Amino acid sequence: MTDPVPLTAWLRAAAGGDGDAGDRAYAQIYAELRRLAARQLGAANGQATLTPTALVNEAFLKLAGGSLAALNDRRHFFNLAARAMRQTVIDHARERLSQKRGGDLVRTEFDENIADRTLDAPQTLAIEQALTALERQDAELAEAFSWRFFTGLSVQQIAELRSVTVRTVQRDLALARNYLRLALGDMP
Amino acid sequence: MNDAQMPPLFSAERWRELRALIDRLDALSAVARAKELDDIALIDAELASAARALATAESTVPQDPANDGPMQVQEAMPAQIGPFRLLRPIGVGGMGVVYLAERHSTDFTQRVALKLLDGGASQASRLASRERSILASLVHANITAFVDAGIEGGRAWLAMEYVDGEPLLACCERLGLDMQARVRLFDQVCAAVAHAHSRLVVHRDLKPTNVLVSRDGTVKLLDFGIALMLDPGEEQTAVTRVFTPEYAAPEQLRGERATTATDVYALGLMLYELICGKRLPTIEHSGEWTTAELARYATTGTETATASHTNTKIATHLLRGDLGRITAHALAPNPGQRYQSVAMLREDLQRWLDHRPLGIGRPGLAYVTTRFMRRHRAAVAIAALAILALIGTSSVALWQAHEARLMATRADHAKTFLAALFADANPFQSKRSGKTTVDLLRDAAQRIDKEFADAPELQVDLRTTLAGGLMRLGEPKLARHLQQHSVDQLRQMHGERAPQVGAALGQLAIAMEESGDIDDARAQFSEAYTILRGADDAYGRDRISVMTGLAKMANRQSDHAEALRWHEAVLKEREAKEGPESADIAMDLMNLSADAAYQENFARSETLAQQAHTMLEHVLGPGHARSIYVDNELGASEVDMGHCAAAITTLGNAVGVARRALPPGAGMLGITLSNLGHAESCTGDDEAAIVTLREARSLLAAANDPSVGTTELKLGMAELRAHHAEALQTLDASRVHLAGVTSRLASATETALWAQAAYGAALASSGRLAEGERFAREARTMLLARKSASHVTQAEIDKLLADVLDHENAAGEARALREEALAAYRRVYDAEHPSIRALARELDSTAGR
Repeated sequence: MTDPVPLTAWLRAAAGGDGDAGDRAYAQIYAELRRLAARQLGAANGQATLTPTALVNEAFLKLAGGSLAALNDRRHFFNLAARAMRQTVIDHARERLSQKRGGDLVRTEFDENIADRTLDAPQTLAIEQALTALERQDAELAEAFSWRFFTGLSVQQIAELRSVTVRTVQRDLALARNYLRLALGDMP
Repeated sequence: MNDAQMPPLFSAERWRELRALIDRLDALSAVARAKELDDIALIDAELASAARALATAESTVPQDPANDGPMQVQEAMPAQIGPFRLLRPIGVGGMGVVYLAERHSTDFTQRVALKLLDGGASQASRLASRERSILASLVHANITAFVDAGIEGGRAWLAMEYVDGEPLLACCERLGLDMQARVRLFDQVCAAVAHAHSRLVVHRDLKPTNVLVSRDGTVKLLDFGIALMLDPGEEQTAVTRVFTPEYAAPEQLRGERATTATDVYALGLMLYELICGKRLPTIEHSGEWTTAELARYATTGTETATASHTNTKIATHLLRGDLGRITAHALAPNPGQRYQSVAMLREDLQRWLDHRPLGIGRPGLAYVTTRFMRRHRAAVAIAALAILALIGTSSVALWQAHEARLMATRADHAKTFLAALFADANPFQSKRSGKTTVDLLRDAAQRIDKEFADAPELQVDLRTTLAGGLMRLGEPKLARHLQQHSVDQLRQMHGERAPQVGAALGQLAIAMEESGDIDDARAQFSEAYTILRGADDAYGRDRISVMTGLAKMANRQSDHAEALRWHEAVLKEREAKEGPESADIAMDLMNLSADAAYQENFARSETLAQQAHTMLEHVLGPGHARSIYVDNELGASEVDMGHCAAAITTLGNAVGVARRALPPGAGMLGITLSNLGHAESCTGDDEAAIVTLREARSLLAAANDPSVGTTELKLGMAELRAHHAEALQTLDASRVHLAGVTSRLASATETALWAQAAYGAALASSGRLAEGERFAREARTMLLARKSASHVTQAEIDKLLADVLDHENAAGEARALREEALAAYRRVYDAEHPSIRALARELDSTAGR
């Protein structure tokens, strides 16, 4: 199976310090996610709900043919995908707000035990702010959270990607969530 | 990101402090943790407060429900779901949380793994009773038993047998199992999957982590319930399909439906992982796996999925051998080339365990498939045609988008239908029923009635396609039955006089004609034409088909003038449709040329044939298979005109194209050769003609072609002229063959009489004078008794009788006959025609006697 775009090559070049390659890979993934999101939302016919996990899963299939053999490549892919998905979710939340339409917005994998939460646009943007804070506080925690939240990777998969134990990932995710909750303070 | 400018909550130093504290707290018991935090609060209240909020270990403990917001840390474990009391969470799957739960009754306590599915009511509603009953039917020692299911608080739950076990790969590694033991465990997985397949349930997400080994060594396959409830039978879109990409089969990655072959693929991957402890990086690879490649990845593969104590050397050795072949066969990229069932995979595993040769023989499945395709080539070709026919229909007849969609669905259905048809003829099931192509088509015809009951127009299309195939396979009666069914159906739907009925009647008439029921065929063609005469242009093609059929009917009854009228009408309609040049118009011109020849208008026949030839070459280029028919006609008309050398060139080319383009033994090659032989006789080269005509005879006899009698007549005449002794036998056979055909083809009667006269001449020349004269005289009497007779035939019979009389020294009558023959020739031939010149010479030479 061949890559539709030389994604693997870009990811590797990016890992080797080629920033342009990283940008290209990001742009590719972002564009794909936007496209998929537009389709999902279009098909939903007003009942717009984004399912980041499904979108990333599909982008992964589309762009990487369903798998990247090397651990590093996959780590880079999911990093970029999480970033791109995050941007997609925010773009969408802003669009929704500007259109003054309410309703459910983003179906998240915020927690493995409640995978099917939906957040509305203000909540999404608030989480985004809190996540930015966490990113500056502790990039690793934010990364783990983004993977889980925006790409739907399982705890197990995150552990594999980060070469740590499942237990560590679980603790990191819990810590990240608690941090965000703390940062959001009075958010319902 | 962007304008979200919230600062971090803590300074970097404070954060380091906090994390260290949290790590420490996590290691403590709840009581010790509370005490520690209280202690810290005395020194640094802020730090203690932050740590309390952030500490993670607490998060597994149910929280105050009042705190449940969107950012809730973890869902509280419900105390009770259905009849089950929940004990503790035991796992998190892609679709929800699994709890250990138990149900008490007076006699026993039942422990279950209770899965609470995410997704709320929409998924809950999928727990339809049908699916529950299928799940309940999956009773197998190696499948976790279904216990109960229900909906609680808008969420679906599913209770399955609780297995206190260990994941398959971990178990193998821990016990250091050898390959024989691993294969035996794997076989239990296969048994579970095979059982499910026999209940029409596909797992679609088979992977090592879905397999547990219980304490007593029994393998248990998990998560069938999930697979079942995710069946995207209805409107699920691709985005919600669930599988694990690393274990997905190529067709799953392409977004196609999972089938039993998909599970076979996943089992292949699982087997590979059992052998070498590594996951096969399937995506890096395209095409078939060789055992060498499998072995190579065992040493160089990507990260290990489990701790790999497996001796890599042993693994690569095994992968190069039969175990590798089994794996590779299960991993074939094309689902159709994998093991056709899990049972066959198990069979080979057992053979491996017993050190017997594998069932996947050296020639490979491809061999069997090819053989099957060869055996059923006709059926396969017809299936392809049927699909084309459907596509054709939809593109012509449909212009509204929704109708197009509907049609696409139907075409899909039809495709599936045809695929299923061939699945029935699966080579592996052929033990049960040695079905022939005709059987397949007969079955298909029956299923059209059932499976397309809601799409009658499509039924008609499919039946017509199948009927065409049946006719080509020499089963016109069955074809006729199918078409009759379509006619009846269309009459009910659209009324007696609807153009659809006319079109179907035309098809029915063709099947009748092929069945030999000429009178019925003629009646149906006529009725079809009455209906279609006023139909609009959309039915032009059907009208042409019907008119062509009527022309054929007229020719059969020697009503060549009538045939000519129909063919002219066809040409007119076709020119209006396809104007001025097309391959079909060339064929119409060819038909008109033949009509002219029947009416002995040879000059016109030659002109028309020449036009047809030029047009066809212009449209299709030289050497096209259709040119065989046109050039055959052109050559025959050239012979009629006495243009013998031109005829030899034309027919020589036609024979060359026929030899290249037609399958060996095709009847059309025989017909073309027959005319070439005639042309050779025309130039006077009877010896060459005899060679050519003998080849034609054997081809036509083998093809059971009715024109064999005519060819024998030409051959016998050439043999007679060349004084070959075989002439008698050849002409006897010709006479018998043509007499057999006369009942079906009126114009053959004249030819049969010609053959009878020729046989008489041969008898006379062999010394059986009286007998010969009787045959020849009777033939002439019978010909003259006919309402009309061809001048050429009359002249030929006159000449033959004259030859007989020569032997009897009845010169006067012989001369009179020859003069009559010459007069007949002159009515239809040019003065320069070789037959006229030869006969005139003969008469001149005997004039003095």
